[in-house]
Amino acid sequence: MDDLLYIGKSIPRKDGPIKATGRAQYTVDISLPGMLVGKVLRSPYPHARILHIDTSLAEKLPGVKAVVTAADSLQIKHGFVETPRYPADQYPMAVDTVRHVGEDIAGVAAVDEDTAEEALNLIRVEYEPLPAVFDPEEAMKPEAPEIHPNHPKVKDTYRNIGGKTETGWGDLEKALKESYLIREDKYYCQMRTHGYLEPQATVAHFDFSGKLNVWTSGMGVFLKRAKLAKTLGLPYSNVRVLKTYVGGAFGGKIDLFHHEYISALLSMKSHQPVKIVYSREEVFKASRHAQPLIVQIKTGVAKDGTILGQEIRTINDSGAYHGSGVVVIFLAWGFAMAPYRIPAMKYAGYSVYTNNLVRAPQRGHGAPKMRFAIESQFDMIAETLGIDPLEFRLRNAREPGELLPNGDSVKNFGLRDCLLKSAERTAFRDKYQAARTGRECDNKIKRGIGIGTTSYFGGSLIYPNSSTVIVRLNDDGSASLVTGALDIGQGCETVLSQIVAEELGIPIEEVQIYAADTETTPVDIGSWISGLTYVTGNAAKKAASQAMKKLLLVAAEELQADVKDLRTHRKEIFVTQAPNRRITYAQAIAASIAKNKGDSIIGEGHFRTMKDEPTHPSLATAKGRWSENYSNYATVAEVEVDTETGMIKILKATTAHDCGFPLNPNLVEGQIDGQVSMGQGHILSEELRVEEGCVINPSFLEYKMPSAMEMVETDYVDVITEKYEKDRHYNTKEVGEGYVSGTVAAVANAVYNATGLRLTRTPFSPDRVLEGLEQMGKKEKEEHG
Amino acid sequence: MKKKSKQLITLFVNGNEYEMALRPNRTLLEVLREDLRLTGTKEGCDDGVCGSCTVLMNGVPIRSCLCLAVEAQGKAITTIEGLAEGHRLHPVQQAFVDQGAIQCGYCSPGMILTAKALLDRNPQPTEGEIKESISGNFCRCTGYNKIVTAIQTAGRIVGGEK
Amino acid sequence: MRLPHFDYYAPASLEEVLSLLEDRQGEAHVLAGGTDLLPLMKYGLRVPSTLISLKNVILLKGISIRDKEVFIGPMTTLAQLQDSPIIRDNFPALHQAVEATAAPPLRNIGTIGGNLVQNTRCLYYNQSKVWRREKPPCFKTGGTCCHAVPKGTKCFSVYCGDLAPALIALGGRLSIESKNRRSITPLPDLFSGNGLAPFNLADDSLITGVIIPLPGKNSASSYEKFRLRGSVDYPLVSAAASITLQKGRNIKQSTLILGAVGPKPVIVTIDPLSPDLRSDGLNREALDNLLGKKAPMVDNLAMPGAYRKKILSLVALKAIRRALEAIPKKESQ
Repeated sequence: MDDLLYIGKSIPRKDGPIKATGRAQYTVDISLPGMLVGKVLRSPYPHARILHIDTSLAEKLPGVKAVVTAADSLQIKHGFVETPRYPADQYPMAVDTVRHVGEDIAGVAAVDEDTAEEALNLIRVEYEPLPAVFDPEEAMKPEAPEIHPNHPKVKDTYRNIGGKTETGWGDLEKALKESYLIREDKYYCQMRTHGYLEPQATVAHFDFSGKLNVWTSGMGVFLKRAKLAKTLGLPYSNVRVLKTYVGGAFGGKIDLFHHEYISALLSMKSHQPVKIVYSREEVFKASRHAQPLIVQIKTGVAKDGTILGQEIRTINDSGAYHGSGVVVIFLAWGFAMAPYRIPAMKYAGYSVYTNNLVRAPQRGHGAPKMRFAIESQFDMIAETLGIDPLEFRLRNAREPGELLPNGDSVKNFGLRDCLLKSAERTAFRDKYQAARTGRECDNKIKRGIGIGTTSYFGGSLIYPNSSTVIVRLNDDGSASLVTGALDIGQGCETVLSQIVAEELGIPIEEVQIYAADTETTPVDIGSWISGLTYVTGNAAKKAASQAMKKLLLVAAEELQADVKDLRTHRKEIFVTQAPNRRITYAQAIAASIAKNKGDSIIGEGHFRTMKDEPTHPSLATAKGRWSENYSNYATVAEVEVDTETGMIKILKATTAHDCGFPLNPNLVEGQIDGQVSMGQGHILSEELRVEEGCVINPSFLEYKMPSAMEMVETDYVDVITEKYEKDRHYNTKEVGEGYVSGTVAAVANAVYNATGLRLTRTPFSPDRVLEGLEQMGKKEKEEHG
Repeated sequence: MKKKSKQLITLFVNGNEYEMALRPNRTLLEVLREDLRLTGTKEGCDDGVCGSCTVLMNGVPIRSCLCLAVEAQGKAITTIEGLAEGHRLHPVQQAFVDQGAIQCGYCSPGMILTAKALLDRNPQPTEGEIKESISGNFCRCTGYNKIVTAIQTAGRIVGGEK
Repeated sequence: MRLPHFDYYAPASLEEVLSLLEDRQGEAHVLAGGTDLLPLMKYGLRVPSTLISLKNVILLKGISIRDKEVFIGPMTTLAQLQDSPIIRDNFPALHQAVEATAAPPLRNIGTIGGNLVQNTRCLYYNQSKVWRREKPPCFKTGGTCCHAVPKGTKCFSVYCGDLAPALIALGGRLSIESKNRRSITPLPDLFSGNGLAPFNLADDSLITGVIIPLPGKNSASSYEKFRLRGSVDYPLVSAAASITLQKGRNIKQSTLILGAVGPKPVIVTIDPLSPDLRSDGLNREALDNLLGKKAPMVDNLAMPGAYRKKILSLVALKAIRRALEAIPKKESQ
């Protein structure tokens, strides 16, 4: 790829200057003439019947322009996924029952904050509290209060089952019988949250042409449009969702959020723009966070460490509605079966209703939890067998070209190289042994090293399923890149510009991007599902390539040559063998307009993954192919454990990563760094503490995200398994989500290496670590007398 | 609660003088964003923790969300909009762009101003000093690594110019 | 989140401040840096009808030495304290406490006076009005229960100030004034030990100075803070130590001031004759036994009370050792 001008280069982000100067406009920055302040009234109860809502006093308050409740709405449900198995299950405003603290009951729009606040206080709601349940294993018991009836297809005797995924292959019973060693463990993974700095925010303006205009802090404009159109009963043509810069999302802003709906409804009622911005406390208390997951794993291995079979059961605390819970129990299987060969497996995942907040995916969407559990267990198995952890993983790592149980090919799978390179870079084996020896010394600070891997899918089918990009050449040969892609900070506008500039052979400064407007830009897959670079990127490549082909055809005619004999350089096209026969892009475009019926040269490209599959796999059975690309990461973490306080410090995280190839190495490094930090928070300090359905630490002060003082030194090793080619679509693999898991798993194993302590509950907060070390010490004393 | 009367105050922001009638309960952050439409300074939390609202007051980083606008009279306020000279980015801004220290960009205004204040005081900070100076600015995207690199890079330029 | 409405005054003289405080007793609050007060107001935990800004009262600012004492104006910012050579060279405990407080931008506006009278804290208390209605009001918000301790009969909110333990270790006193009174009070007397009203400070009164005697030879102080992150966080526990040695480097006087262990800092005098607590015999177990009874902690901060209790002796030990190391060796011979 050395002859490429832009691909594979660390081009500075195009939106860097606008962000560095504070000129980037986020949803929270938008102000429209006549804009009203909107606020939402929320349930104080985790489970209650709504007997009566009286908004009359609020409506009469001077300065209040609109008040809405479910009675003002079409009462159309929506859901994170809407399939025949999992139909939409949640009203945007509660109709007759609330099922979690913070559920949306009413909205007000007023001339200023004070009036809106006062209006909320004037709304009278009469509730009849109902019994509530907050723990998923308690909620599964027959005597638990029923939050929703069981899913009709779920035949278990458990209660409150919102979703189930069940799948398997091979003969697990035989595999376990033949196993030399079987290990069974149970892991509890906490509720964490995204921690985006820009709170949830929406501006909605229903104008007098009957069109709803929406600016919202989200992750993709087309899904928002679809959900708003459906729930508001508007045709898609009359819902316009426009681009704003997004102050972080990490999975927490994907589907319909009720303040988006409420601001739209308020605007439809008042005919004025309405802006709703959550307070930070409101984000913690009432928005959607990542799901807590219980993971039970039983693994059988041969004497040499070859995995023979695995049985996994996951229990997802779904919260009060489906949310993303019915997806995470499906994905959990995916995160279990990809990196290593598992000849026989039985998997069951339950998504259990509780009277807790609804869930949203968070970066990794279950992978950090699954990999933490699996990688911890693998280390323990390796140790019992006397095999070093690296060898155990190499023995079981999938090879390139292997078929996964669902039919996906892993294609150019770089896991083995990731393992070897990360270990080599960090002198893993030497440090591992040194730490084992060091456990016995008197030093209160113990050092350890651990490894964790993951394999992550990308670009799978979920609405809107595909991306289209249009590339328009301007008269002078510069280009407009028109895409529905929304840059949420990952840098996709820069990457797409790189691709178009590369294909067209023009300076990247002359690629102007128009993005993320459902009215003027074509459909886009969205900035979740880890697929934008692959799906939209390939669509952009196709579009630019098509435009280039058209240009070359015109040039060939003008220069009376064959297309294959033409080359381009600096916006000129010339005959390779006779370079003096040349034409500028501008001249070719003019010729096209003159001679090709006004064709000003536009290229269009469409792309989606899984072209042979009509839709995504079955969420119930996991049958069906799913992803064309599986990334691989092996992270080695070096930690220090203070055995007197239980505090853990991550000294360094080294990641060997197979992302195919990096289109922009600097951006990829940024993704790794950010995910190491998020993984750090996940494994060490972040936990949303909930009591009776209420979050009791609803602030950045008490939800412990890492500060700069906790910064981890990072290192990266490239494992290149793909390349960019001019004439076909390229294969890249995701970089946005998988790295979190490697860090989480590696740190857990490093803590064990340092101290001998195995924790099965995250985060490894210092009280848990200290308690664990004390228990270990007591046990050792008892054993040794 | 009854609204109180407005007071006439003068704020100095980015070298410009603004005479305004404001109620005392308005924070500097609100006034910058809503009245002066300088939306580069952001609100990220309720209690002065996240650092998105950081501005410089007489050259020193403060939380504009915890500062009443009426208390900011007589002080020179610098927001992110006041840093570049025309189209020429301040070395800290340029370094952030060049080093990949910006992802979503929400923390960037506060972070850049804090870094600028550090380098004005200490053009060659150690890595530890850099981390300490930005320890009150939270970033969820970058893990802080490239931010530290950018500040080190900018320091070499700023130190060189001096 | 918005602030509630209030009348605002920014008098230029201390007399005017004290007059206003007397006139508006119980309804007025002084405004120093605002880093503690303004979040409380946003959350509806403090709703003064009047704020009296101290920013224009020059008398309340500055650090000076007179008669072997250092006088610190209450409006001196933490950043000014951190940069002060007088503080750094004479009062290591205070310097260490300031460095460990919050984060740099907060120290740029936070003041020593404001830091001393910061409200006590509790996870269940420090939430806004709209969310506190999820549960019945607790003792500190005028109710009759404690959410941190079911069946608790008092408020367990925690005083989390970093400066107070250090200042107590240094023998700090306060100048407190009202319109008609002026008194000098030992700093420990500021604290009531009652989470509902943590300070013995009348509504019409103001701290007008912090007075610290210059340290003698053979003595030193230190401050150790334990928190989860290296910035922003309040202490989970903290300890200031004040040590005076006699000849032979035996401890003559040893005092620990524990922070974040309850509604007020707790002073623990260590018997210098105790064999377990001599400078060469300090050990955690002995400290555990001594401190355990003094600081009943509950689960109302980021880490459980039981954990904080375990860590307390470690932090105290570190503080004592740090203070010992700070005493110039040659002077103790």
